[in-house]
Amino acid sequence: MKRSLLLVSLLLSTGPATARGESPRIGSFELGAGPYRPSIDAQAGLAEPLPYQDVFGKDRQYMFRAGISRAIFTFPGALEVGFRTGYFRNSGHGYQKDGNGNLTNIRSAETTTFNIVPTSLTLTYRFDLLADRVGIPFAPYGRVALERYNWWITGSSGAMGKKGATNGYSATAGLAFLLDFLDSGLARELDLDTGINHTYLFADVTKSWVKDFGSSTSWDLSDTKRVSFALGILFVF
Amino acid sequence: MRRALLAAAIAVPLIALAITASDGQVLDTTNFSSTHGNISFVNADQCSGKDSLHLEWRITALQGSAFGVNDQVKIFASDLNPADSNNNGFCDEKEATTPKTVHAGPIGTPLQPATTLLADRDVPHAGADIKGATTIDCATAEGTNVFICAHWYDSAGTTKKGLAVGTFQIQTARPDAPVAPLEVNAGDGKLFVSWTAPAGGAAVDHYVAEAYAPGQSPANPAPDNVPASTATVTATSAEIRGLANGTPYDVYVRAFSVGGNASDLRLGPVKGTPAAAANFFDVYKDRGGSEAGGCGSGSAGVLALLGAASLLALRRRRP
Repeated sequence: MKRSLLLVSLLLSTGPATARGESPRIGSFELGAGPYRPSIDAQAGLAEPLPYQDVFGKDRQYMFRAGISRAIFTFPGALEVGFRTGYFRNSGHGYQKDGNGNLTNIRSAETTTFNIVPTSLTLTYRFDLLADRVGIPFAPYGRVALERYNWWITGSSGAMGKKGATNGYSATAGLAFLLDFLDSGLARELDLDTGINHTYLFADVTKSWVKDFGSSTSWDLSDTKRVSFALGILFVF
Repeated sequence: MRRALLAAAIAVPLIALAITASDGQVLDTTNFSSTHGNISFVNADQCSGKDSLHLEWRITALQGSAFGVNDQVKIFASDLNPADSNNNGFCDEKEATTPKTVHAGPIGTPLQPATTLLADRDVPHAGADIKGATTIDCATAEGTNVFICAHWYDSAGTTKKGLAVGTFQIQTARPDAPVAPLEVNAGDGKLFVSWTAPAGGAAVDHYVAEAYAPGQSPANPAPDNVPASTATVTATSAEIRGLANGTPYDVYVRAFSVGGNASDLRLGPVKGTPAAAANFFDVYKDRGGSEAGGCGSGSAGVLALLGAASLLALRRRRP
């Protein structure tokens, strides 16, 4: 009990980072990527062979994300409101059509692509007191987000086939490793030169529900995995 | 200003694509290669007299020369580089024996310059005339350089007033035919074609893939039979575009050297029938998918954006 009180006292006693000679914290910027595969084939009643797997195969492709956030407060821990966007693309081959426009069972040599630009409004809490004050270089964090996946499909010669947007939400839990721990002198120089207070490597898991809140005329762009995994780098400035 | 920049941005690539003789240069507009030392090629058909050379030049005037209305341009060919001769940079105009055997002579009749710039474009000259002027034997002259000069003379045809010179390489060797298998796959209004490069013959510069409509064949050459569409590529695959869906085409591929010598034989024919293609959404709908496209619950996304913007705005108002 005494130890716990001592730790809390140590964490809170020194106040915000600016009081310790760091530049003021405004927010953060992150780059990340993780494997992704939309749950389009999960729709009930789809005929075999299931369309996404039939056209694009079984592999998961990478979704790349970049995000920027503004801090609402930075002590104790950082609460940030942010915006993220990214890109996902998969390509495969559809089928030839007959003279009446019906699908045949002959695979076409034309390439069809499925493209997604995921955009998110995020609320993130990162508990970075341990990294800042105690010298334990890890910062756990949690995030909730409103998601909007703008998507489009191309066909022959890149011609636009269909486009739309599917909305949803997600929840994320992650752990960030403070790289400053490896070279604190360099980290201080970076802060002095660029205003970047801290640099983290992060890994997180996200559970997403992107299916227009259950709309019957929307497909499910949530990840097929129970949770999706991502890695990236985070700059706190 | 913006318009001018836009026009310049469009014009620059167009200018770069056009083959234009620089000052003092003669070139062949159909067989010039800037990637092979800025030389033109005289291919087998041109050397044998079957085809013409399409010459373009831009003459550099000698100092003090002024354009006269009845001035003329004479074309010469020589196997001696004018830069190495003691003839003041001109192609020799008659056969000489010193300092080495030189074969040179005039080609065709004198031309009246088209403009005071002394530049002419796509002036056809028989390949046989060049062969005659230089006494080149096409069968043994592979890789030999000849030099074609455009000389600007006064109206009497006696006083030289300017010149242009170009290097032309005799290239009569042909690549071997492309190697099977010739694979033809249907696209939407096009055919995807692939093959294997030949191992022998002259180096391949490019390939021409041809699609012939039913009843047409390269065995009966143009103008009777012409391909419905062609594709020129440097790789061993091509898309032949502009074809009609549902029509069975015969596909052939031929290899060409940099000088434009075609392989004696074509690879093919292999049949291919273009067909309209279903994209992923077509397949999804065909399997019973319910997504309708558009923005779905778009209003929810907009409301969320507005909410977040409000949060940020409230945050800014704090001191």
